[in-house]
Amino acid sequence: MMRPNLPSTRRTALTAAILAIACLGGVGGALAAPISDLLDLPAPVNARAVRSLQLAVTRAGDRLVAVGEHGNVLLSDDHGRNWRQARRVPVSVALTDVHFPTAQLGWAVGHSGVVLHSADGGETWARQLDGKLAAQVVVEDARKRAGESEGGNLDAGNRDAAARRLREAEGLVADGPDKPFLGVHFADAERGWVVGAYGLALATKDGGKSWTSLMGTIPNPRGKHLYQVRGDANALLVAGEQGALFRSTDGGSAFSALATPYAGTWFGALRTRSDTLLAFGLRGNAWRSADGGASWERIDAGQPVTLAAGRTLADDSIILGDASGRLLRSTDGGRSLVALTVAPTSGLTGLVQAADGALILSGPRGLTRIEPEFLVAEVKK
Amino acid sequence: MSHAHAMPAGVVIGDLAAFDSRSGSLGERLLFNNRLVIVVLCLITTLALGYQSLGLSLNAAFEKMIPTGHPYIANFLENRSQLAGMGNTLRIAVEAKEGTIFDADYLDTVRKINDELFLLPGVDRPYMKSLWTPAVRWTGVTEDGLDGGPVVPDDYDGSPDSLEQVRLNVERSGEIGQLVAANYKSSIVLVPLQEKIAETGARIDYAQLSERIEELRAKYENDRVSIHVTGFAKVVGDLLAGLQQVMVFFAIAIAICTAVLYWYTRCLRSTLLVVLCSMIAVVWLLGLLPTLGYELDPYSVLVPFLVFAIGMSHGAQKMNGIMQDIGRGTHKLVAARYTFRRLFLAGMTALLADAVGFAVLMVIDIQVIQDLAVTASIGVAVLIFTNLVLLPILLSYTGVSPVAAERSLRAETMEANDSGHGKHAFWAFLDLFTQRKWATIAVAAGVVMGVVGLATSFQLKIGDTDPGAPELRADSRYNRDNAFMVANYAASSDVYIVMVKTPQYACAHYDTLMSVDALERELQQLPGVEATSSLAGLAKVSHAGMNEGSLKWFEIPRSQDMLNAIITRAPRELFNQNCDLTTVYVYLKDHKADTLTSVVNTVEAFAAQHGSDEIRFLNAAGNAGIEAATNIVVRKANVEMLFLVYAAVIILAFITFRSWRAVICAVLPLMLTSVLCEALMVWLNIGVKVATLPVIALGVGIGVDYALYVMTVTLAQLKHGMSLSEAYYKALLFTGKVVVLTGITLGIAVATWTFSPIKFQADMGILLAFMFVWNMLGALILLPALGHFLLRPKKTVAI
Repeated sequence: MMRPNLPSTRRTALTAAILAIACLGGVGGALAAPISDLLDLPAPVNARAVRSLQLAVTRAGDRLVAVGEHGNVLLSDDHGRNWRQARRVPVSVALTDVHFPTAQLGWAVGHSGVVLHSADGGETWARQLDGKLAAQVVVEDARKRAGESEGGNLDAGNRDAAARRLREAEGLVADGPDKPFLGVHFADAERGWVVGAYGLALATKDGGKSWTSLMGTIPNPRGKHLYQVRGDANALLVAGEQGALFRSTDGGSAFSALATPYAGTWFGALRTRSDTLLAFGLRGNAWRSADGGASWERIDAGQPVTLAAGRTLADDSIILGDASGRLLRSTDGGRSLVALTVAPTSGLTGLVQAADGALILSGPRGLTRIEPEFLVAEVKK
Repeated sequence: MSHAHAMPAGVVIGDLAAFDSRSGSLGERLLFNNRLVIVVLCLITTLALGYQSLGLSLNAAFEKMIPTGHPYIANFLENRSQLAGMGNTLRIAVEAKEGTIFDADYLDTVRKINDELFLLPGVDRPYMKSLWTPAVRWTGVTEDGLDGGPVVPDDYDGSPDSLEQVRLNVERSGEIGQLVAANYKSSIVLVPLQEKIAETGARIDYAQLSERIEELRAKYENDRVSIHVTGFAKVVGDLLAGLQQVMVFFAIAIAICTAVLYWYTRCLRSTLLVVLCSMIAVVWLLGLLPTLGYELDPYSVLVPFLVFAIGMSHGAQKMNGIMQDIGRGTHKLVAARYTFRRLFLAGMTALLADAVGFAVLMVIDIQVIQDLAVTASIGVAVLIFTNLVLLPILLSYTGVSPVAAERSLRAETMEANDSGHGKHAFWAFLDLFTQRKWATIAVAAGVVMGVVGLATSFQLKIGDTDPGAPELRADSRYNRDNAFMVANYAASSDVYIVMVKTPQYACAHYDTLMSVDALERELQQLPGVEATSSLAGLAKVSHAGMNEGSLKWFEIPRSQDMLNAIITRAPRELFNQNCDLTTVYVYLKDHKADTLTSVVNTVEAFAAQHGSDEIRFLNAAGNAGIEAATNIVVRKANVEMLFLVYAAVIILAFITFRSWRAVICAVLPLMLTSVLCEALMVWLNIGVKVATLPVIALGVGIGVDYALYVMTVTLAQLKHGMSLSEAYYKALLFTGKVVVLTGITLGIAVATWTFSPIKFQADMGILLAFMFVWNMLGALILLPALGHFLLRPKKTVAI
């Protein structure tokens, strides 16, 4: 019943508790379950959609698109002043991230391994992938690699690694669609990457029609959770737990691990225009590397609260937001952070700059717009 | 039935020696030939019961105010012991007027308040919550896994650093909007109460509890801190405190009744006797209640006044009769006996009708109303002794003042002499309604009002129509405190709890949680629902918590292992020991009837669609759930009660009149009043609830008195061959006068309650005043008008 390889240390800490009540899992199979699986339940029209938990927000051209719990997708065509629900979303699982490489084409990912695609700027969505299919992709890839290693000329260590990946992949299938995707990034209409729990990572080169596993490509043998994938013309960055930070400089074919000075979780990483790396995560950890990840210096974030989201704004300044809703801004390429004096929202999960310059925050109570005038005034200070 | 003693005027006997003391019924002889014994017995009884009444207590009990027989409440009571904090909870918000709660002085004040509340009797201490209770914890994520501790750390010392630590812990505690206001300007001490005090087994004394809380308020409130308190216990406490003011209104009402009666009779001694006898009835009632194991509650506290009012009505009738006889020259004892003969049966029937009318309230499965029914029935039964027996006997000793008697005679002579054309203008006006034209107009007007009233009464709301505690005024301290809670906290004070039963150990099964989550999603769509919480919601929060607090994990994990791990940390209010019961808390904007109905219907529909033997969705606990059940019971009871009250009144009226036609004449006006009273409730936005439910029954019970007094005399005259007009005119002069007098007097007296600090009493005052006056008008206008069509002035008496 237990997953054979629970990688994180905290999971082992829970083992005792799980064992103590492990019997609970075995009963109740006979429960009448007339409730639809959330994967098959279209997101309902929700009277309080605009006030419910939103987990990410992005731009689709001038439009803003936010995703959140219950398969809730919100759209705004007036730079975040008013929001409405997307017309059709085929699932009701929580959606964790969304990205639009063009104004029309976008992808959203979420729990139960779901990948959704919209070709109309977020109005309607269709399912491209779910956890079961994703597990199949991963297991096929693992089988292929294991097969190659058996007959091929790999050394013993690599053979073991391939065999272990296959075991894990088969475990994935056995677990069912219970792993969330946590990050999505598309470079263009064709090439995209999705990452998630337990190192789950897939890529597509045909706009999501077919997917390949990245689990043997990203050097993440312990299956650390991957929280974010972001990229630009030069590089792709994947951030995850226990100090995991991966980079691809060849358009996502090969990934290398960057050594980081912090062993906690990175919830995100971004690259400034001057090629500076900024990684942020648990307990107010914000670290900067000006030499492509070789050396890092810590930036004082003021409070030991999780930094949940970060973006580079149009004026090259950087905004980081922590889980309590506090906003920090750097106007010196990430050398120092200054807390904005905006009243904190009740929490923060994501942020993006709207086309008119306003800052849009997603959080437990929906979305908040911070006027561009305010951000300008902050800079002058 | 012999109607001999119903003669409006007996033979005038001025000399007692000429009176045959063996005349009259057995009862009359028994009573009047042993007058002294009766008086002494009554005196002893009064002293004994007066002593007993010192032991009368005023209190309220949560379980007495709820319909314990309703399936929802049965569900609640059945599962109550397994779940904490489901019913009766006090919420005490401590507000920092300047700055935020992250202030050493503020936190110190909260700690002191917390410690004092902890020691109050009746507090369910393990479940008490505040910033300072160990149960309120933060969980945070470190590189090494989950970390947590009390929100106020063990090493808290009030320094800026530790205050900063508290702020951080609060942010990570998940209590924002629950125990801590989102603006950080107040925090809550949550005090669950047990109905019985654990140490002594005694019931909570709400008046005392409320006083203790007011003492705390006085002690800690200053220019920097203010305290807001909500919860059932405080409502009851405030009601009980308000009752002291209520007593003042009773006193005013009694004074008005006395003054008007004196103005009418100009006889001090008989006025005082009527008041005295009515007061004796109240004393007996107040003495009998503790003797029989009853106590007064905020609802039944009105009963003593009602008993007094009814007593005044009957007493005035007796006094008037005696006064008229004495005025004609009859000896006072004989006059008393004559009056007894003429009016005892009518009075007795009227009082029995009252008693039965009140007793009918027993069918309502809410104990406070049953207690009220018992209390009122006892009170009315007592009146039979004090005002129908003791009063005439006392008057037979004292007589009336000669001036008053002469005045009464003069009026009577004048009216009698003028019969023909010069009737007293007012009585002549009322007499018009026995004529075809006016009778038609009156009946037509009655029909129109009845139709309009009936149409309006269909909009009658069941339950509360205002937010907060509708028993109290909208601008009362309590309701302002309640508004504060609603404005500052997501979790309102109106909590509706759905109980979800599963097989053992399945309360946290993935399928169970998915069902619970689906139910929550439906409930969250209701405009009256502010928020919900459940094991499903907790699973999401914990899932995020186990993943370093990242809200991206805010979803119910599909892994049962993960769910099992989660429930080991879940608070006990969400599931029981056996893990076969879990609860969904629904926080409502208010507890208006519409809001509750929408929740009840949603849950019922969901249960019908998704419930099975394996998973059952049960209504309802929490104060709002209980109120929803109460509303359902009240709605049903409102219909049943009216039906039964009228059945009782009709039967009693028939026994008295022996004529269906007369019964119709007497009862139809009452029904019109009932309908109009409901319409009035719609217009005044008063809902039918535990407090207002008895009003209509009381109104019918008291209103029938008027009809009985007028109809009895009219029928007797008709039997003697008078025309309806003549018969009715006689009845007006004899009993009608007093009907007008008491109707107006009682109407004015109860109308003073409108100024009561207690809203439901003000509502009752308006409704009762309306019913007193309108029943009087019905008895004086509609009754003769209907009589015109139904009671033919033939020699033959209606069967």
